[in-house]
Amino acid sequence: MQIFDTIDISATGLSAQRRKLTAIASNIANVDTTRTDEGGPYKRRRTVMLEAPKLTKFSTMLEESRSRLRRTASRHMLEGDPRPDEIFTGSGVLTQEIREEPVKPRLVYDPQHPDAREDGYVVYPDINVVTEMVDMIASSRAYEANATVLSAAKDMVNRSLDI
Amino acid sequence: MSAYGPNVGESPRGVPDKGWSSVNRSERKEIGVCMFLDKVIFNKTKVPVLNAVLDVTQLRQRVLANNVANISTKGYRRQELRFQEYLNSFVRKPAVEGYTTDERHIPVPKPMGSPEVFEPETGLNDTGLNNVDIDREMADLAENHLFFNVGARLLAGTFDGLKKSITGRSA
Repeated sequence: MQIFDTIDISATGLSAQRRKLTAIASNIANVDTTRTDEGGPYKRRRTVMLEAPKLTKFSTMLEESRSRLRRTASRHMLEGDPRPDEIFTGSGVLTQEIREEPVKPRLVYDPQHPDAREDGYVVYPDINVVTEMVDMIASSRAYEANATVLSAAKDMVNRSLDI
Repeated sequence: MSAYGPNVGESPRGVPDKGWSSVNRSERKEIGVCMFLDKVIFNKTKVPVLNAVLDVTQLRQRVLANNVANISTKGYRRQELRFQEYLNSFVRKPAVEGYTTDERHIPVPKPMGSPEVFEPETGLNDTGLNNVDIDREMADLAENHLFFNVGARLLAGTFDGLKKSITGRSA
């Protein structure tokens, strides 16, 4: 329903930031992981945000085809203005997750380590904890912002019930 | 209610609106109860304007929510709604007003279509990802929220007044 569209948009923002936080938590937890199922050290999870595609609603398409209609008889209805909620069709944000190939893996000389290479070095994942922490703060602030928008939208719906 | 645009005073066949008295018997049946209520009661009050206010603030809330949701989207461009002009067209009386009695007539004044979504030209923000300024979005959001509340309260007041005048006593 149209009045809940704002809430849907904020919900996409909330879930996107939550997914990003999950990826950050996983990165920090796996900062020393040297062995994974697919082999080699842990690969950093990076969350990429992209704008969600515009909605193609039936009402929008109807409106477009209606603009090509002509009024040929006086009894035909006048063309109405598009409803304000047909003008904006943005629908929030999407996320994509990428496993980054390590650019500069951390090498530690430790020949006793079970995952040590033949030359005695152990390859640790390419994760900078400081970067992850900064990303985490930004992400949790963005989450808060989306939550504020959502509660404002909720209040507006509630308020319209008082009319 | 059927009419939302600024041409709310117009009947569906483009006949100038002179109130209920100008409508003949066969037309009365055609128009129906809803149109009757629209024409004689609601369009004479603040209801159409407040309707537009609520519609526009809902829409703007969606635009702003979309900006906030895309706060970490690389390359996203923030959007805004041009709503002031749209609302002004409800309030400001035009200098010249023309009736359209024929379908080939050009409406005077030009009807204000609808509010418009646009992308303001601003530089990138501090993160360098996009041009969403979170402080500005939250301020706009708070303003929009209050604006909606004002509209809702005035609309409730208008309906209270109508009810009072119908029943003859306060609700």
